Amino acid sequence: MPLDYGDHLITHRAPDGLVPVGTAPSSVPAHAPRWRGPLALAAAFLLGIGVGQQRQAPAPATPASAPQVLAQATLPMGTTDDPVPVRLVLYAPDASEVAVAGSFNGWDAGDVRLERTEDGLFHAVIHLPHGRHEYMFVLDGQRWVTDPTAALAVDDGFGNRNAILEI
Amino acid sequence: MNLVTALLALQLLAPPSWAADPLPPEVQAVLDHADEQGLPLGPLEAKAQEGLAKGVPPVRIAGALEQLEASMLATMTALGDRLSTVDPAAHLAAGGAALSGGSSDAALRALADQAPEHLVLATRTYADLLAHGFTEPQALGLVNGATRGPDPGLYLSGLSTSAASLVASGMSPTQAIIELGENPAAGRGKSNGPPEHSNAGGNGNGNAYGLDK
Repeated sequence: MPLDYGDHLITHRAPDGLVPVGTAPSSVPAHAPRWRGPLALAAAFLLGIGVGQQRQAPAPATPASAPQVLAQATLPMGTTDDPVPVRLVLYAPDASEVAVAGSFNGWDAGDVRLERTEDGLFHAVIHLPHGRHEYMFVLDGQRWVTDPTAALAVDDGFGNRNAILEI
Repeated sequence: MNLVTALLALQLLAPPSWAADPLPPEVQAVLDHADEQGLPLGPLEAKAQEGLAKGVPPVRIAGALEQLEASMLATMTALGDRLSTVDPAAHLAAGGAALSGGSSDAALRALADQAPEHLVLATRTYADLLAHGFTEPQALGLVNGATRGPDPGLYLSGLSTSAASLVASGMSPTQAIIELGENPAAGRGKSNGPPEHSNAGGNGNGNAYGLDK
């Protein structure tokens, strides 16, 4: 299936070399160039319009992903209680099973399993309420992995880092 | 049929498995102590649940909970009547993260005064910025600017992600602030652009944000 990245590409090179791609909203103020990059990047997470899929880079040494919010760009933030669809993608060629656990599902590693598509790529679309959510991926039911491409992560107090999704 | 319906109802009403099991005693002890201190238990219970799900040894969970409890208590003391009445648990947790990240009590109070309508979000964003290497004045300035923008909720939500992304790309916090339009000369005078920020980094007197030192 051809990948459609839209007119505005945002690339963010993750530490492991994977390059997740999102689509910038056209509503980014053109007269605010200093904000364009970071705002667009934030907007890709916050507003993310019709986000395509992840462009696969040369196989990274560690699993990688790019959380993408699939809401409409025109949706006023914080004005609806409707859950927002979020696409989670993880590149984990060595894993046979990947799940996502987070504050939204009581950290239940058996709640949301990602579907393996091709070449070690796992993905899932989950629906989350507006707000802040912490999560980690769980590989093969045992290995807890921080989303390596999450822009924001916090110490979990147990020696790992939880990725943050703000929607 | 009725039996099946009853069994299904019982299954639906049953608490989740983690809640059905008694907590390890060392974990429960911390929760009991926090309860005695008058702290809301939500953040602590959630952290305990997270630790158990991740297979963290109970002693280590208890240690993490003690740290969280201490930071929440410190936040409660620091904020006093500035504590959110809407969501005090989330405000305490966010304030605790900020204090653990190096914030002063005075900065927490200043933040509460700056953003009374967005206490939790502003405090959480501030804590995120501290965790990503921004100094207290820099973080306060960024949050303050976002709260004075046209849509504080939106700007605050995106601020920590944007700032963290810039830092992750190799910028220093100071460079990130400039990129974010935090430079006073670049951020002012725009009616429809990004929110104007105060001069993060201070104006030389070290007390540009009204901290009651």
